[in-house]
Amino acid sequence: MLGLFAALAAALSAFEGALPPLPFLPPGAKAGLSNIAVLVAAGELGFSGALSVALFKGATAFFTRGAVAGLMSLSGGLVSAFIMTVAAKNGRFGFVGVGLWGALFHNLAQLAVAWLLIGRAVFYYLPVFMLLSLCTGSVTGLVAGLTVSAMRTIKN
Amino acid sequence: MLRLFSPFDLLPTLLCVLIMIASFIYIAPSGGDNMTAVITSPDGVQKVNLLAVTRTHTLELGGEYGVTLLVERGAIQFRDSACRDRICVKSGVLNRIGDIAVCLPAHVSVRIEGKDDANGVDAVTG
Repeated sequence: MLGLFAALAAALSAFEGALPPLPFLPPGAKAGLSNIAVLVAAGELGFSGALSVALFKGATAFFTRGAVAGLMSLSGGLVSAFIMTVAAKNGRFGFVGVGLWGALFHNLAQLAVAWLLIGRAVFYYLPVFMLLSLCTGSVTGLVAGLTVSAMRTIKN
Repeated sequence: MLRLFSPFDLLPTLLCVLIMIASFIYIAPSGGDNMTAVITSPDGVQKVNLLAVTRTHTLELGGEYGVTLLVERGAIQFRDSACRDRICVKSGVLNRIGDIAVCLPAHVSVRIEGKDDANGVDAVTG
């Protein structure tokens, strides 16, 4: 099950890299499709599952896109995996809410790392990042929710 | 089993919007006719008054990645960097107050600041 999610994350990540960059998005911004796999793992397997997928995602980014990309992926991935598991366990939030928490903290964690690397100039990205969190968080949450219900149907 | 939506989902939504508004107020340019490129690199901070630039020239920051900036009157951009993703170069021309581009591997950021000297306040909040 875990291997399946990790493979899913890698595939989504590769698919995302193959998409043409959207003109209205700042360079470097991504939809975070591979976080769908982390979210599904968070809901289905709990903390260790989500964490493992995030670790695998970070390692993949490190080997295919370099040290800085790996560090950014890992920081955002681990923090959002933790937050999403907590939010999922809490039980009050829907998949969309959990996805939003994940996207929010993914971006905040990455911004914190960028801040350490470069300095406070990176905070100028904050408004755009928050707007993107809203979009990507809802989409990943929605897709993850539909994926999980489809998986349940297959199982039963 | 989680539902798809829950009324509580509004909580992270509102938090995003709140941080967005707060950060926007924090970084909002106060306008005016002063336009300075603030370049931070491992070597320190450089400031270039973009409105006083008389000829287009390149600015070599050197370093491991050989970052080169192109400075024009009223605009600045990353010309070249030996980094992998070249996100800095793809960010294109920065020509408005508040514009920013960074090269994470090279630890370089460029942003455009401006301030209305006649006004004298940095920001006004409601």
